[in-house]
Amino acid sequence: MVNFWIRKVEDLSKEELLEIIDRELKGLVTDKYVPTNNFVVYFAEREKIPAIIEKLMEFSYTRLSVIAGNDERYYMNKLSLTYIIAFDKQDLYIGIRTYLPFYDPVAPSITDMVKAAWWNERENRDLFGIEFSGLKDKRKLVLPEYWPDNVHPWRKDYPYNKPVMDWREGLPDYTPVRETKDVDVIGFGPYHMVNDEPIHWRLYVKGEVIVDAEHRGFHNWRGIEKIAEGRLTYNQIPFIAERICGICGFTHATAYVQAIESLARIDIPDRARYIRSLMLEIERIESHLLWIGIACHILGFDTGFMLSWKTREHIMHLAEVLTGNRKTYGMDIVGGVRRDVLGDRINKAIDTVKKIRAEYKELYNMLINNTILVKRTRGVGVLPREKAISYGVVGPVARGAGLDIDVRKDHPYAAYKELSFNVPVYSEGDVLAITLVRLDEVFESLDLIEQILDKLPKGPIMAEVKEIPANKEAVGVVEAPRGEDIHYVRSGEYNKIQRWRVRAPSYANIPPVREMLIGYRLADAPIIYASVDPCLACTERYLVIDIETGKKTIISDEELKAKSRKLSKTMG
Amino acid sequence: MMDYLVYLAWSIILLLTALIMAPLLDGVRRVIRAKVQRRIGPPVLQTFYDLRKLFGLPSLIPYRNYLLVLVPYLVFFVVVLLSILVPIPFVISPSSTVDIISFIYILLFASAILIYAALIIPNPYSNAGSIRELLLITLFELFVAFTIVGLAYRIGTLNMYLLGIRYGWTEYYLKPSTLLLSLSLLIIAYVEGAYTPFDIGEAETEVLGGPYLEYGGKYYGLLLYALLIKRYVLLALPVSLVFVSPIINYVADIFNGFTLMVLSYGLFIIFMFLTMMLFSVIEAFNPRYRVDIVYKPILVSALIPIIGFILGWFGW
Repeated sequence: MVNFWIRKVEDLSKEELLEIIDRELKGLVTDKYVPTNNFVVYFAEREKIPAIIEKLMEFSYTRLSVIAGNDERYYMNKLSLTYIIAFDKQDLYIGIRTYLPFYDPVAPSITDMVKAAWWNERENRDLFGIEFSGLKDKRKLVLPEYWPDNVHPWRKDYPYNKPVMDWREGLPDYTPVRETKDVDVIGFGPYHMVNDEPIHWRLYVKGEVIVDAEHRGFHNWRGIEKIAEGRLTYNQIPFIAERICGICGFTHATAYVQAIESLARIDIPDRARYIRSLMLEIERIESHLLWIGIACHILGFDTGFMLSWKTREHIMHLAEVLTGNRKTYGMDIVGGVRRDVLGDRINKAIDTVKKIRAEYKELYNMLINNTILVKRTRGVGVLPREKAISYGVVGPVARGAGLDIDVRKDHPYAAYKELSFNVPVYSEGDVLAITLVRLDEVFESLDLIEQILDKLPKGPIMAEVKEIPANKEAVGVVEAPRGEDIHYVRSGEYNKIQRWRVRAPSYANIPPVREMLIGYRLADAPIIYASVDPCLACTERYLVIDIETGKKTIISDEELKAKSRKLSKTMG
Repeated sequence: MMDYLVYLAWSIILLLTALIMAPLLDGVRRVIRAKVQRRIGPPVLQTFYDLRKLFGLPSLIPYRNYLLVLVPYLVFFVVVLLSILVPIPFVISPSSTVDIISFIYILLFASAILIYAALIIPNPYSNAGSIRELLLITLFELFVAFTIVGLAYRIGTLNMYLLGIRYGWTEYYLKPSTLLLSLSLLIIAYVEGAYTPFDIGEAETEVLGGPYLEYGGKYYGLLLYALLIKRYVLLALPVSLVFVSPIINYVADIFNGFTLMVLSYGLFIIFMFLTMMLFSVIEAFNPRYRVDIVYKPILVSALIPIIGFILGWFGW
């Protein structure tokens, strides 16, 4: 077992910490490489990985952010794994890289030590065919159960445009992880009233009390990164990155362009930095108000739902005024932003913020003074601090569990270093604490927008971008409304990327939901699950509209109904 | 002969009133909720449109069990029957043939049929919803029982027709015990009517409609219609007793016969709308209870009829 955060290093500078890490990892790592200011990569033999991770996780404010697999056949003729660990108080990401030969792609599992590795290892097993010795959960995570075991779509020998298997060719072979003799099984999703996107939870209940839960997701996974690696140029990717999510798409585009700017050492103009922060805060308010509405709806409080979404309309309108779109702003591009914020629009934005603040205060008071609402969320779905660290949760879920982490403060980007704001932190770890974090953050975001509009510097909005160097790597991080959104990018040749790994915040926040559900009631399940604000579009990164291949089929409403009725009859 | 015709005519009027008013009241409820939520909301006739749509849809019964087909008709029949037993003061109707104990327990019987039918369906959401509904009814039993005992002791009758008339007599009405019992009757209408926060049995975002889940098309339409009529019947009892009875008793000396009946009926309709508006506002400001926290407010609120009964015992 790892003793998480026992070594207090949060007061040390980046240089001091790196010195300690160099000393500690001596004998365990073989080499070191510094791709960017905030990203340091150590190379190690695979056998040493657990010992290295154990040492690093003992430092305070560390998280296993993502394990990025890569097929480096054209460079090393090997597969690689990069364990990216965040050091939140030193603005530092440390990558531990190990190479695995194609004939023996096996690495030791660290899931038993650090829960954050659980999904990452299963994903790399599915997509790169890397086996993890000691990994107990051998179920597929991303690919369907019937997918052949020797086909790994993220390896470079699997073309990006190879069609996926037709689902009718095989039937899912789903085996529940738990005996069902002594419990009732309740299927929660993939289509459930409170699931905006498909996810399946098998809830094992005794009476109404949940004794265990099991997750199956990735129903819509299409491998968006593969499309980007295969056919898109650097400046086309921000637009597909923004379409990863319909709620926090701008954070994805920003994280991606920041990674490219970082590896190409591009300094973007001040005005562009401020505009990015402005849009990110607009997106945060929009996302939080959306979540507040959904949470109220789940708890049967439709008045809160409607008032929240009514207030949200103002911010959507403001986004439309500033960018031309309510969502999917299309503002980010490598080197800056595509549209400026003009004078009269600044005044409109100031007026809108005032209007939202007045309406939101009323809503805020209504919510926090509602006894039933507080009773339904207090002490429900508790995620203890220790588990929160092990699972590497981020955003409001982490801050609700007492972890004072926020990428805007810890790894400042865009204009956040020059702006003043508070990071709300609550220690209870229950749904109420997470809710309060989000409620408070809306006020902070409104303040931030006012500050940005007040300080907005004059000047250009685009930097001059020359050639992006090949075979460089970087991480781009953004505090999305749900937490840290990290994009690991490695540049390739011919104006294309070699590897792009998107780790959205929900990818870190959904795995602990199982533990958050156990011991609570069926009635609590929807709000516990919703408390992490799961975004499956981000987690699964599904978006493919393939018009070029001509495979697009349009089914009319009548045909769809007829199919549905036919299916119902066969079931009856 | 004339008496029988009047009796029959009022029975038909009450039946039609229930069939029309139940969806209309639901429409009012939806409009009021929309106003509180600062949105435009549906037209007041929207529930009629919904029912029309449901009756036009193909009906699916996923489990081949004739009881499941029978249940919507049975529940609908029971609540429609109850709707003609509503005691509108001075209106000659079958209410004189029934007492309040039978009235309330026939009403609960309608809920019980639905609950037991849902329990035999192998669907965990239906089962969970039914068990919650059953729990709520059982918990609320104490409240209902004390209200009935309190009424019997205070007013001196359990006959629905007589209760409708006597409840508004000044010697009873202005006493603290009667006020508490009036409040109890309104609470019964609210809780048994499964308005939020007491909609734990259906709880769409948790158990997807509970007992109603496995029904579709006209069967669901019938059940929905039955639920709306049940709410109408539950509301009619406190409206007649608490609001209409004192006013109509006040003017009983001025008007008589047919005029009094029409006036009473008119007042009943007006107060039905007003009470539903009040319920809608309360509903709009409350989230749903969870099954393990609902017992506390229900058991504590049972003090209202208990105190009402004790005060009545001492003649206050």
